This record gives sequence, structure tokens and C-alpha cells, in this order.
Amino acid sequence: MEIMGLAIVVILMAVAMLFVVGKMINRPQSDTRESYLDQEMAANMLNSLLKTSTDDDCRGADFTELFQDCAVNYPIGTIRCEPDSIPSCQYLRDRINNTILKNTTMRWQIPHRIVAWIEDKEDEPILELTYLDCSPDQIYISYDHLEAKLSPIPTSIGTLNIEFDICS
Amino acid sequence: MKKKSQIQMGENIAIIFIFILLVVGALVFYSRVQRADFEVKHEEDQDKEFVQISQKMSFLPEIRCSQENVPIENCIDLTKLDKFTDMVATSQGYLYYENDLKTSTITLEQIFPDTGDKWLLYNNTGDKSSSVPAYIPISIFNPKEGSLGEYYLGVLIVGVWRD
Repeated sequence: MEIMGLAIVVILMAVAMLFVVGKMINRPQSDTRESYLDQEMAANMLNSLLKTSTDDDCRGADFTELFQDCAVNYPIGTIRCEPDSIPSCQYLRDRINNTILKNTTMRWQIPHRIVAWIEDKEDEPILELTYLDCSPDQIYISYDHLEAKLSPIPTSIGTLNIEFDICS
Repeated sequence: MKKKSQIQMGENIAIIFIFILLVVGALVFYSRVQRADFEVKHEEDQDKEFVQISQKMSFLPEIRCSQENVPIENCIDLTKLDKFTDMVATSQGYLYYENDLKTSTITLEQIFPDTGDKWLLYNNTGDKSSSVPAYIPISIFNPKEGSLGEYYLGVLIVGVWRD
């Protein structure tokens, strides 16, 4: 009789332990740091980029002015930048991809996308740079989450939307 | 009769022994669960501390940009930065900021224009051994360039030291 009682106690304890272990395995990991960094990265990168001056390269124009010039005079742009007097659209693509993103999000292996388009012309972006296949289409396929920051800039042909996405 | 009672006694002792083993096993399992819970909570607290330090540094009034007394977010003024690093280098300044910035290393690096300039803002490793740096893009304002000053793109590298 005692052995039966003991067997019941053992079974109950095994069930309780299974329940606790299952709960421990399914507990979500803390992502406070990652969420904060993704939000700061997306917002700050775009805000800082648009304020950044090109110094003597483009006669003191900042990246906002270059984007505006490229959008209005797409696909080349009228502002000429050093070296080699390259037009604004090409300067934007080169400097953003090969200097800025290369030394920041690419160096840190962070999937990202920057895209600029005139309102109502989302299918014809004036600039689109993607790293590690980060895009809204890849959410729930390659990535779980996309953190997006959008900045609208006025131009003479409509609002220019610039979006910076971080995928995680 | 004697033999039967001896067998019965033996069974009782075996059952008590197994029961004690079960209780000990349950206690060990419970302590492991508590330890795992504690580790998760400790990690969450460390993450919160990291967020606090990063926010404090990003919005520090001593180095933050301002235009006509209006503070500008996510921007560090170069002229204020020089004075700040001089102040933190003193023992008084270091002790003042140790309360807020705790055991962390904070560096500012200029990305564009790519001059390679770097500034060490604060460094306190404590007795801790490891740090995972985090990178926060930020604007750097140089009021001495251009007619109204110029903005550069920089990165604030925040590393909080842990055991």
C-alpha cells in the first residue's frame, strides 16, 4: 500500500517538473537592449545623415539638399560634387553606401535598407540601398521584426520620403 | 512472524529512504529554477542599466548641441566636448560622472567626413571583465566651420562592463 502511495507521489512530482521545465524553455529572452538599439539606430541614423554637411565636396550642401536636388532633377541632379565633379544622385549613392553605411551598419553586420521616393511614386524610388536582404517583404521569412524611420522632405515636385529600416 | 515483521520494517525503511531522496531531488530542482530566474532578472537589470547610461550620455546637457538656447536632440557640440573631456580627466569630474555613468566606456567616433577622429569621453572598467559595445549614430556639430557651423555624422560607442 505504501508503495502505491509512493508511486503516486513520484508521478505527481514528475508531472510538476515537466510543467516547470516546459515553462522555463518557452520563457522569452530579454530583448530590452536589442529593441532600444534598433529604435535608436533607425531614428538617429536617418536624422543625423540628413543634417550632415558634405563640407567642401558639394560646396557646403548637406545631404538633405542633395536629396532634394536629386529628386527634382532625377536621375542625375544639378549639384556637382568633388572629386571629379560627380552629380548629386551619384554622390548620394556612393557616399551613403561606400562610406557611411560601410563604416556603420555594414561594419556591425546589421541588416538595413534606405529608400527614397517621391510621394505616390513608391514603385520608382530615386535611391534604394539594401544590405543582407532587409525589406518589408522579408519580414516573417528571413526576419522577425522591422524598425522603420521615415523622414518627409519638401521639394518643388512633391514630398520626398526617405525611409531607413533596420531588420532583426 | 518475526520474519514477516522484519520484511515489513525493511519495506518501511526503503519507502522513507526513497521519499527523502525525492524531497532532496525536489529541493535541488527548485534551487536550479530559482537560479535560472535570478540570472534572467540580472540580465534584464543589466540591459536596463545599459539603456539608462546610453540615454544619459546622448542627452547630457554639458555636451548637447543647442541653437539659441533650444537644445537639439542626438547631437554633440565639439567645442563643449573638448571642455567636457578636460573636466572628466580631473578626479572631481570623474567622481561626479561615475554616479551616472557607472562602469562603462564611452567613445565618440566621426564617420563622415571620414577624418578618423575619435574622442574618449569616459572610461571606467571597474573590476569587471567583459563589455559588449553598442553603437548609436549621432550628429557632431562644429560651430567653427561654415557660416553657421557644420554637422558631421558620428557614432557613440557605449560599452557597459559586466562580470
